[in-house]
Amino acid sequence: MKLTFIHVVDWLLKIIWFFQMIFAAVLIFSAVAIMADVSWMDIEKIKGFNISFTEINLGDVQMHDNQTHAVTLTNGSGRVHISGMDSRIVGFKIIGAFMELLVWMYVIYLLRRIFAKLKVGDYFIRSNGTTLRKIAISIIGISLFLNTFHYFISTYIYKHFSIEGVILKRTIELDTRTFLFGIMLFVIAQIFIKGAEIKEEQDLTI
Amino acid sequence: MPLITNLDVILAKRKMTLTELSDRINITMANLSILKKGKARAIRFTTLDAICKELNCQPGDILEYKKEENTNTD
Repeated sequence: MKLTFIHVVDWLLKIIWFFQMIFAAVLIFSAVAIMADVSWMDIEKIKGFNISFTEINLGDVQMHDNQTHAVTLTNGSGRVHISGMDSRIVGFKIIGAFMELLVWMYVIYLLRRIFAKLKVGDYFIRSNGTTLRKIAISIIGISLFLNTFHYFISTYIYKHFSIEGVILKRTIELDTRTFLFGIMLFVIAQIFIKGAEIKEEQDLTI
Repeated sequence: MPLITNLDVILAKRKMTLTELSDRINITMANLSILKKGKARAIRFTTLDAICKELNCQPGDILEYKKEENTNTD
């Protein structure tokens, strides 16, 4: 069999699909383990969550000049671990991760469908265009809705989380790069569909 | 589409097969078959000219317009 670029990418997609399946299985397994409150799993370790902060006041810190100075950490992000915190936070995190994974699995599935067509030589057909459009819509969806979902999760977390001297940042951040990529792909898909329609018309012109 | 082709009728009248016509006007069987089945989206003037010349007929003998009956009962 002649190894072409299409075959290589097809194999890569198969590998990604395989790892996505494993990741989905791990997520489901973790969710079940948390619900069952098993003793062999240290839930505290996965209770850590990402935060963005505007300001963390570190208080008076002694410097090299042997004098104390007020030190503030500003505009950053990190991962916070708090022992004995509500397990529902872990549940929300797993739901968020699972939703994101499902959308990406759908994107990979659609890509594999396109590559299956390419392998048999069906390049310029309408269904490839519509599949490409579905991928574009999914990517736009990922950039818009998943960030909104994460915003609501962080709202819930921040409600139950307050440390003196720490000001948390809570804004909906639009993933501009992914969003623009999705829009670009959508435009390309529309052009592809129109092109396939013209080709179809040409094929049926006697 | 309300346009129908009567190519098979004309061919029968001229006692000619589709293969024969295909050979004479140099248009593939596949394309003529699309035309005969009424699946064609468009027909070139050159094709129409060749068919009419070979079958000694008018474009109107091959193409016919039939108004679609409205089946909507609302």
